[in-house]
Amino acid sequence: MASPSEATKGILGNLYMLRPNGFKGSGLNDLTWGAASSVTDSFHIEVVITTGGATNPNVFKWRENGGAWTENVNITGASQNLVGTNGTQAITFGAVIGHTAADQWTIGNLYAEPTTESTNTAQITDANLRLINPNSPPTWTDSGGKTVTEVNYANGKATFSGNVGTVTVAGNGGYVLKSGMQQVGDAEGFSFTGSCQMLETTPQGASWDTFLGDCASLTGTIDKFFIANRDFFEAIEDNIDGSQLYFLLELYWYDPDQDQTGDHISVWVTFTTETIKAAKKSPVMANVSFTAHGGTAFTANG
Amino acid sequence: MAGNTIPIKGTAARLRYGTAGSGTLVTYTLGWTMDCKCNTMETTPQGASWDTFLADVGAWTASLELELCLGDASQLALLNSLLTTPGTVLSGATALSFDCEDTGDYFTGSSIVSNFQITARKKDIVKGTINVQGTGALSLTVA
Repeated sequence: MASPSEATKGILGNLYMLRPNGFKGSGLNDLTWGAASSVTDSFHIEVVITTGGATNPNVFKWRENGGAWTENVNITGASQNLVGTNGTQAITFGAVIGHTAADQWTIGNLYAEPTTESTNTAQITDANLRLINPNSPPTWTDSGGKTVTEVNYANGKATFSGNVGTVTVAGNGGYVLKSGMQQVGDAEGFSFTGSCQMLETTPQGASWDTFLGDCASLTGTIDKFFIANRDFFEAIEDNIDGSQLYFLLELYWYDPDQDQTGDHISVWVTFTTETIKAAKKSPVMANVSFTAHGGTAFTANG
Repeated sequence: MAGNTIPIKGTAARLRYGTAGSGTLVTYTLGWTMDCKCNTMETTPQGASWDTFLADVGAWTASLELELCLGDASQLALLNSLLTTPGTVLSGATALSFDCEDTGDYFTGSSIVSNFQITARKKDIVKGTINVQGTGALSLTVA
């Protein structure tokens, strides 16, 4: 189904966010991704807790590129290697117990990933690998020696200093999985504003002002009911202490099936403010503001 | 008919995208506001009793209110003119025209989408506001 051809209700909107370490769940988020080694192709890893709580040790399963699960792996608390077909991914859990069953983590690694080149731009050809990670920015390499001048992390496209030859992209943690994003619940709504800086170019002798468009920017706000363990405060703290600089948001204004497939923009952001308001005769509300890091990407309902 | 001689209903003053005079109606618009000004420079000398001015260059901006509907190719093109290729000049086959009535009177000119805002909230329709900065002349065609 394409974008809607009539006006839509805001209640059909939706919000998704990528949490630190690609975590999706409600419990302890203490997995740290180590280095990928013996890499022969781009690959992604999913880790899911299968036995949590007080059971010592907790148990997880994992898989590579959506293939068969490797089950019944005990958490050791030390570095553990997940050996796949396309590479080995190291992980470390901070604790051996206390996780929540069904909580998951994802990571995507790029290896000589091909792009589609056009004059001075190159875009990752595989559309599933285009959400690239500015927290772990991959390296773009052009056979013609041109250098990167700008990267759009929301659509996997780079602009270079001149016409490019063959471009490939590589990097540990270089891309993120759309399926690894967590739905932001309890939202009342959101708004975002895109702006393009105008530069006046009116010369003497002209009758009307003329302009050139310059850099664009995007800011926005999200309003939600304040739920302490499902709030943006963790994200702002991470921005402030530098443990994670950018967060990926998907803002859906039309997602009738509430399944992450509707009209939306993807944007990497820094959260700039959060206001918590507690007033009589009203639920406690949180309003958070964000500003985009680089370009965005629009995806139609499909 | 050459220009309206009685007031126009706002619902008839639509927005069009495309070659002026034959552009496609943008669907799900709620209305538009246009500001056209002539910059002035004060020249009042000492001793004068009244301010005097010299007219300078003209400028125009417009604001479009709509219910977001990106299945409409024109709405999508306007959004993408900033989102994908910021600074794109809308002119010629991509120009905006502002109908004064539905029988051939309209304003038009080259413009750049300088700003847009999208709001999605429960218990409301998803809405958008698009602001354009005119670059060059604004013209009025009266049929």
